Amino acid sequence: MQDQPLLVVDGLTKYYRSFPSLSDFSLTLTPGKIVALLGPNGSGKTTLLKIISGLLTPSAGSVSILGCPPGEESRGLVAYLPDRISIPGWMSSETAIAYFADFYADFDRAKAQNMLTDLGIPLDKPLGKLSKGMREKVQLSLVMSRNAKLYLLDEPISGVDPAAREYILRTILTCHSPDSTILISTHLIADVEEVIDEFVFIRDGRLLCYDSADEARKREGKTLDEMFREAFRC
Amino acid sequence: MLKKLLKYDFLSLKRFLIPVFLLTPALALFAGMLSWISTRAEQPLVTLGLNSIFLFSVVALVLSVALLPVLLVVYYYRGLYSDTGYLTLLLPVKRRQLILSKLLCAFLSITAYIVVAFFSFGFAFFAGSAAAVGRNPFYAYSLFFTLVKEFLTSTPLHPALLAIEGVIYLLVWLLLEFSNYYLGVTLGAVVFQGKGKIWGGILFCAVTDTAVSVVLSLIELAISGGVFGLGDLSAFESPVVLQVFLIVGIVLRLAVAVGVTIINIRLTEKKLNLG
Repeated sequence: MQDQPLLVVDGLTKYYRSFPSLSDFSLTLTPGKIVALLGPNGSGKTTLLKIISGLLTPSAGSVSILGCPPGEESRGLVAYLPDRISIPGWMSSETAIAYFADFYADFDRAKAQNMLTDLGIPLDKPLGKLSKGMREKVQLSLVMSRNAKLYLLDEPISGVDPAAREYILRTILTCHSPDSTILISTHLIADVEEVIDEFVFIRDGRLLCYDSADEARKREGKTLDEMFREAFRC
Repeated sequence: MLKKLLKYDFLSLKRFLIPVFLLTPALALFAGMLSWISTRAEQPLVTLGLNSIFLFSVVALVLSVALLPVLLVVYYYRGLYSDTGYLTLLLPVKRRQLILSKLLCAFLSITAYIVVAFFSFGFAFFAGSAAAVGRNPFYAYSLFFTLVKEFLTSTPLHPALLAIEGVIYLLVWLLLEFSNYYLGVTLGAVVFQGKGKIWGGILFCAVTDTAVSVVLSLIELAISGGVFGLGDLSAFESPVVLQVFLIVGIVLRLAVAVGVTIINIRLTEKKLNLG
């Protein structure tokens, strides 16, 4: 069961006009892992996540999530946290919880309410009246309150304070189950270093390296952060 | 799922709908009262001043009427192609349900709004003149309905049937308009990137709507010209001809609206570009 691929990305290519954002990118992820997607700005991380979630159509190649191509069915299996705030400002956290509960069968309403209460977010206030950091926390809490098979997190900790960052990472670990995988894109490698099982280095839309974090650290005798700096030195 | 989507679309639109639905009658009431007061004013300078304010309020009224369709198109764009698109397009529902929900929402809102706008305009323009001749401010409505009744009874068709077909024709026309606009928004989002999507959407809205309207007019012209002879309106005195002509118009517009929406759904499914 553990070895059955959860995500299969095969020869994925995406062009923006004539500029290739992803070139022949292939990757297979198994369940039960926390995988860091690491690369410099413009390396194609967000494009990859958007294609997997079905927000972008690839120019070539294919994606399969538990055998489903990106579409209506796969959207029920994948929980995607975008790098921007997507919940409209008119919604209160309460309405947003009801929205997720109405549409996602795997959404845990009580979990979301507890998370938002822990974070001190007022449930009845429109999100437009909350700070950017708070809105990001609401969005993350809602996404992580789903019992999805694959979580795609695009820069989940970049906009929040260190205390909240710790809470978020703890939440990610708590939400992680043996049958789900978390693919997390971030620049803050040092912060996620301790929680990740595997990592992917991506440069110019191509897969540079996909390895186990522990094995790579043992083999290279360096932290992931150091390996990243070495691989992407300007 | 469509029911749930509609619920959230209306919840979201509520912020715009309530002010617009209140603004138009309020402006109409204001314009109508100005018009009524100006008929009673005796000094020319006061009349001129009141008429000038009346003119401004009528312009504001017209702008308020144009506001809702614009807001509905912007809402469609924002719901699918701005940051909110990350929320809606990730829902485990069919893309056609997302589009249909927004189309239905726009259609129902604009239909209700037309009723509000109709009564508002009637009051704004005719309340003053009705009062000036000693009639109640709502006299224009009864006059209007009498004229409509006279028109309906003057045609060879049954008045009730003609009235129903007229309403259906108007509703189908509204549906077609929004289908065109929404296809325009999708084309803009597929072809352009970033901020260009907005201007591209506006451009394609105009192009799509104009193209569809011209093609439909040409088809109707060809039908009336080919079958009855151009300019020969006497053919419409036959109930059968008039009936066929109306039904063809309704079916044709409905078919085009459905076709345009299907193209929109296919484009949204195949060429999604939330960059």
